[in-house]
Amino acid sequence: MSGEGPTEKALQEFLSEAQEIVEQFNRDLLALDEQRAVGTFDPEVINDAFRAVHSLKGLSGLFGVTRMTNLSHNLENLLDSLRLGRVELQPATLDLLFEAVSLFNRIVGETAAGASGEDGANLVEDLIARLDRVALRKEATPETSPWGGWELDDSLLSVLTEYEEHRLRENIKNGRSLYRIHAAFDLMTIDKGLDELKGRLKPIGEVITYLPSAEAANDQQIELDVILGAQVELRSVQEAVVGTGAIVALLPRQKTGQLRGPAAPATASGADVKPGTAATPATGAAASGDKAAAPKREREEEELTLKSVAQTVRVDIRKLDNLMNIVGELGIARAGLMQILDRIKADRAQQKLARELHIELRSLSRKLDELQAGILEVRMVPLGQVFDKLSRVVRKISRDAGKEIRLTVTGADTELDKLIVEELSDPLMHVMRNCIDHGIEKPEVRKTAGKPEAGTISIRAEQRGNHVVIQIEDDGQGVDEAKLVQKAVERGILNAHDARDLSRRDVQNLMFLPGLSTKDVADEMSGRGVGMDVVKTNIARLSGIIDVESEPGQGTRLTLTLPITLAIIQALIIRAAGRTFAVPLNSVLESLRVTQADVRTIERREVMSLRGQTLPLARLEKLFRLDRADLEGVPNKQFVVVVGLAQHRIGLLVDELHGQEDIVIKSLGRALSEVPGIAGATELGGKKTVLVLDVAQIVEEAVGMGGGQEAA
Amino acid sequence: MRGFVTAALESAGPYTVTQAESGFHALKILPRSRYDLIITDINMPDINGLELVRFIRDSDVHKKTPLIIISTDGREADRDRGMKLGANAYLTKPFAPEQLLEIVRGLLP
Amino acid sequence: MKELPFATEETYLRRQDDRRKHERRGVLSFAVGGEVYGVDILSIREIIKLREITEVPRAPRFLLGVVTVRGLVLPVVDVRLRLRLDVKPLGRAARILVVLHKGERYGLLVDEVRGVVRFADAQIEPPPPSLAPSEAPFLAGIGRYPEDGEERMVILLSLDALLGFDVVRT
Repeated sequence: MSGEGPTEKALQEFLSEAQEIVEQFNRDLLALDEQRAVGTFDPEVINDAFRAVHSLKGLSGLFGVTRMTNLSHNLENLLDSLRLGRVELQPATLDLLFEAVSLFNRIVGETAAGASGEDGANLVEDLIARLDRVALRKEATPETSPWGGWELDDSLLSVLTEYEEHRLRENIKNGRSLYRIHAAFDLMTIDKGLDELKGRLKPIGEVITYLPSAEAANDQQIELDVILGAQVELRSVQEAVVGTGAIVALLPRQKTGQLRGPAAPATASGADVKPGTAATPATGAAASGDKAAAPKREREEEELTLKSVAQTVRVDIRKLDNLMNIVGELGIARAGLMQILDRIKADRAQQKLARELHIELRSLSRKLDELQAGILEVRMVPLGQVFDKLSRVVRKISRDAGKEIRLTVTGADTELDKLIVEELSDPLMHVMRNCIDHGIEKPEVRKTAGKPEAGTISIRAEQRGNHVVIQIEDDGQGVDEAKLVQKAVERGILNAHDARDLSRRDVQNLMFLPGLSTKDVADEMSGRGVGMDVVKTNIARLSGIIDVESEPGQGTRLTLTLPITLAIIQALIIRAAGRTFAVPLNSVLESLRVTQADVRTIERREVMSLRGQTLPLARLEKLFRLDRADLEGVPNKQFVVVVGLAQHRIGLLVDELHGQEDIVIKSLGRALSEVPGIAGATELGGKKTVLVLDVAQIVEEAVGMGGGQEAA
Repeated sequence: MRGFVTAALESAGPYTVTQAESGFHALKILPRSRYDLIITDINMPDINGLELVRFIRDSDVHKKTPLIIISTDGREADRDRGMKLGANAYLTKPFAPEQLLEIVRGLLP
Repeated sequence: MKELPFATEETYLRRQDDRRKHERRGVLSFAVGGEVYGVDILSIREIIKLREITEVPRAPRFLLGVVTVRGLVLPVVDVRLRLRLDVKPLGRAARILVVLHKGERYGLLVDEVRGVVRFADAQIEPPPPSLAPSEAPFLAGIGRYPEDGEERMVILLSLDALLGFDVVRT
């Protein structure tokens, strides 16, 4: 593998920064989407979106990702028109913007993979064309409406940038009053003086611009006029600036009856009127834009943003993995030290030394645990990341499918290991798609059924002990149990007789079997549907499980149970048929000694009784086909390790229990990744390579071979 | 932007560059010395470049000093206003150092 | 002034040809089941002595299990079983070759490592059809070279074929 050269590193930085900006852009769009329902758009949000796209343009330009630069450039034009009020934000336009987000993500993905993205180039061209159409559409006439009754002289108008002019118009449109605040500052203390004044004005209105006056009283002073738009009366403004020496005046209003166009020459104020100056800017060609001199609010926003950025650090997940590995190895070293301590303890002559060592080791252990916990915490990211993406996808899919969806999200701040969160976005998206395509009915159908026309999908995430549970519930039509059974019988997965014995829950869970997944059964419907078996496999790969509950006509609920982290885990070390294995402790419910007398056989399956309930057993050696060739046969005394995930429970029959260890699970590599029942391997004590059991798969296999015990 | 322009000028020729962090800062330092050339961005918060141009053209010291304004691609209106207010030349972002130097050399004897 | 020779397109192309003619492929040769085989030296990462191999249940027979080398877990393939040769007990000379193939590391268990032989492209022949059919899919060619006055033969193995197995869920 080639090492990371400077370009590789720069690329990584570009990718992570680009991703963040796109996410911010997406959040702005989502906010605008919500505002659409209310009817008014917050200009700050549009401005923020504009700035995000502008940053993206600059960033991609630096790294030569031309597709992104082009797309950003056109988006910038459109967003500029939007923020200047030249184009109205309509739902169709908002959709275009969301499409851009998808495209950006695609470009980022392609860039990361080193793909040329040639087919993507068409999509970019296409979107750009559509963006341009919108940007140009409302171009028509520039605003030539009079200044709402205000008389604004040319000396003011001629030095406003387009953006400032727009803010001025907006203030007028919103019925605010315009004030001119005249202040003089000492050259030496101008910064402090300005901050003071800004602080006084900010709460009461929007500063549109600052006009410096060259005619200062003396060489040591600068005089400024601040143009303020505020809802309040003159007196309030005067009160606000009391003590600063500033003089507040209302801008002159036009005399009633005389409607003068903005091109009217200035009055009073003594400033030059340059000959031939047109106060109205000649707008003309398609709007384009860039960072304009926004009022001070922008500056403060930037300060705010800077602050929050400084409190978070972007970290490459690989560095975290590395740290985790080191912590894991420190743990192994600690175990080694413990063994040495034991040997020293055994020597009578060294008791004092042993005691001292023990104290140090204890302290070391504590710190190591803290370090481990600290790093694990760093890997944790909130699920909100994935949920944001889902919201976007839901919008699009529901529009395409012609259905109305209301999405509620709870527990977005529930945290999971970053790797798991990243792996979740695909399966969750598939689940969403199925919900919308096959769960939620069309509005007309819902209406007839007495349901609200908009379907509700709720995503709930919550931490339960060592796991995170994510529930996706819809109020759609539920799972078609009859059809599932029919198909299962048709495909020979089930025989008709057994089918009758299945519980409703079992029938509903049939949808996860390959060959029965929604995709296969979806013929009459949209023909789209993603294999739920794929979703299940993906979740299983994260050592999680997925379960479904459904009521016909009422809805469906999917529950995903995932471990919080995959990196360092606690494991129970066991031996079976002469081999050593590690069982992730978070799946172990309890362990107990048994003798062969405790094991009974019911219908050719071994079970035992545990507190009055029947616990199905699985002999690890049988499951793994391990032979006892050199050993003496099954010992009378054995151990049962009760493992479970969600509502399934089985007891693993093993020969010995060897205590708990902290282990780092390492992958077996691509070739062996599909070996059933094995999640990976770990090095115990730095010497022995031991396989780690995949409890979920084992439970599944054991359950498949016979009924698993279901929790009530 | 400031850094870029400064670097371009300093490395190209016998130019000494003084930077101002903001429009206000420029107001502060302009009256104090004579400058042979002034370069300003248009889009700045607080005092924007246009206001600065007018201020400069109204002042005694720099009434006639050559003035370059930097505008953003597409912002013709701002640029036009700047020229009307008395700037001598303009550059549109993004621009290459050579373009800047060419204009600078043209304005300075 | 001395005239400087300038590189022309002609000289450049000529140099490329020369290089190709004399290009020597390095092959690590090893003994398996009494025969001498070889793989491209560039794919060999290291050679380690035999160590305890952790068995992986329900894996194909030729997959002996996994070992951890420098913190990395890799599957170990018994080349004799993979090539369906006779398996004799391993001697002290047995080694595990750690190879890097398509971004993944694998271990190849062999009876004895012989050494590195360099072949020019011209010295390698395509595999003859008369060899045992079970071997055939794994062969990439035959290399002959002189040693101690005799002609030796190395059967080149294709890592693609050797390691091109997927353990599918049963």
